[in-house]
Amino acid sequence: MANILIVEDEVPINELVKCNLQLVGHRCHQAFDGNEALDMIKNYKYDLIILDIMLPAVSGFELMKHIENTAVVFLTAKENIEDKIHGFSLGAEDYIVKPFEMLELIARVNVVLRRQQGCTKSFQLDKVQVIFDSHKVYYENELVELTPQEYELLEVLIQNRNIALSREKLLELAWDYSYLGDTRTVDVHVQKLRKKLGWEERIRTVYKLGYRLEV
Amino acid sequence: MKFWQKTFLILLLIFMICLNCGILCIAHISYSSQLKNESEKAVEGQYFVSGSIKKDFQSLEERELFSEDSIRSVFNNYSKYYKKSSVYLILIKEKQILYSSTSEELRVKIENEIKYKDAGIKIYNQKGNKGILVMGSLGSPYEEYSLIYIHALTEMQREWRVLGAFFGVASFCIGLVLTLALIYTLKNLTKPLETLAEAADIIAQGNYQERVKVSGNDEVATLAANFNNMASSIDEKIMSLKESDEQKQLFINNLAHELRTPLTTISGYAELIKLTQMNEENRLMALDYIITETKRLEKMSRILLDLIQLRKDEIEMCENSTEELAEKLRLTFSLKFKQKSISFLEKIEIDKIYGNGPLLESLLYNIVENSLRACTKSGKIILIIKKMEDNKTCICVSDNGIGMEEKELDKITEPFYRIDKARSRNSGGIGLGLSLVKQIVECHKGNMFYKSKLGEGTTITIIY
Repeated sequence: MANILIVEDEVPINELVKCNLQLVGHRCHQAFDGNEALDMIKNYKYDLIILDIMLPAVSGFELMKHIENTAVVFLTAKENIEDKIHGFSLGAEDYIVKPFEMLELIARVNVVLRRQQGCTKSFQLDKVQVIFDSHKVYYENELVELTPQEYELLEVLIQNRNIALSREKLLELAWDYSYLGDTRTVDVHVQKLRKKLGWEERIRTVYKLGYRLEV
Repeated sequence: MKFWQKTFLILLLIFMICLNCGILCIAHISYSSQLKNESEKAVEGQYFVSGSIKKDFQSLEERELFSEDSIRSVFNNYSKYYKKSSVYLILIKEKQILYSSTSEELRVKIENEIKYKDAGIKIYNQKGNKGILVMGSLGSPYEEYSLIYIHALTEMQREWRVLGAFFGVASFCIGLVLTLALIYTLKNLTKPLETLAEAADIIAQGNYQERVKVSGNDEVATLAANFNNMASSIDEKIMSLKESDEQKQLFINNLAHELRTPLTTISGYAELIKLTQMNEENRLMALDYIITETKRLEKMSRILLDLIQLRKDEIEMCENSTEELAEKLRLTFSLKFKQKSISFLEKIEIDKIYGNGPLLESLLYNIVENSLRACTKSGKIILIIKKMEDNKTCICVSDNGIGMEEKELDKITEPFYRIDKARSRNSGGIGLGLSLVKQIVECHKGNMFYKSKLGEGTTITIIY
């Protein structure tokens, strides 16, 4: 859970980023031009700012000079290397080029947040508590025995909660299986997780797609 | 080899050949005439000496002293006397040498030749020493005696040797002077050519601003002037190519950006709908965004296609009914006019307008759309179509909308240029309208003028 400011003049894209980040549990604030963003930065401390470069009034690069001690991720249609280098040299944490994929945005934002604040220490849902540092999972305050594979799958589901993930995607994200592994492995592990955590209703099978952890 | 070097060598060669040939000819002629003189002198000498010897022989005979000894004594007297002036004598009796005052070698040489020659003049050459040999009989009654008179040309040969050396030195000196003069002149003459070649080289390396200094009015100066003209026109061409290239690059960059924004929206919301559970309200919002952005893409592709088409084709021109054009405009915009309660006034003074119908329609549509966007509620848009005094057609659209600043006017026909991006986008603009209008005006070989003041409105006038 982090406070994120989205600075983007295209309303549909601003809304889109907001929707995506809200799904995985972040609190989002929106600014539609440079001046508005400038006011908001002065009055409030955000954990992360997602910043477009081509903005009315004050450009993203210009805005960057007024941002102190806050992680910034550029989100822009400018894909040439000079702009990227300029962005990074101003102290940006990451640079995402439009059009972007939802999972990519979320993953990159999470990486930056983890680097920034050590990320959220734990995650609580129903009777389950997950401690990320020690990789320990409790059910009604009792330690649940999870294999490393099961734990990694659980973490991926939590990071991308509310988003349906295909079996292939889960294989790739959880265990780095970039080849087309046996997607049945995912089914088996999801079954085990559901049983061990009592999440039969939480981890939903999405027809023709995969699984989604609904929060 | 360089041009001036070639010219130099050829000229020098020709000149030296002519000079030396001339010298040789003159020398030959004067040598021949001198030789002839000497020969004549020798003939006279021989005649005189042989006459004298004959007389001596006769007087000896009269005194009956004619003997071998006396003959030798007479011969010795004469030969001694003539030796002083490089003249040698040989007395011959019945083709046998009797006495000789020459060296032994010459005597042997003459002896070998006398057998064939009775009398006559002969020029001999004995180891480089030339001489004239005249042989004649002493005449009756001493026919059996012949006298050879040899005049050695030592003196003349010496003179000619000195003369030859002088000619050699003179020819060398003239050659030297000529060489220096030729090098100087040719270098000066070919210098402009070299400068020209250097300039051409510099230009070839991409420095198109290089020019040659022109002086004089000879062929080289004309060449230099023409060369400069060529360089200027190349420079201009390159500049305009560069400019159009930059414009194209800018257009592509802008196009990429303009395509990316709706694509991001469409793919993002589609993904959102597919992967997440949304409530009905959010789902409809997402779908709305997708539909709006798809329409924007569709419109953009249509205008881009129009622009490409306009660049390629010769357009068909004909008379079009102004009433029909206005009617179509009214139909298209009536709803929007009503929504913003805008009054649309037409002042159409002509029935027919010359041009391409669909293009004129598109032109009016785009201009009126811009005006509509500029107008606030209850604004006013005026369309004027009339004939000018010089029979040109004038289309004029003015509004009392928000107007623009002076500095914006230059840029408004650039593709994807928008003065207020957010407002334009919200009302469906894609930033290509005026680019299309400009292209259409160019197709009609017309001109477009804008007049605008911030807060007061804009007037666009097209004359063709």
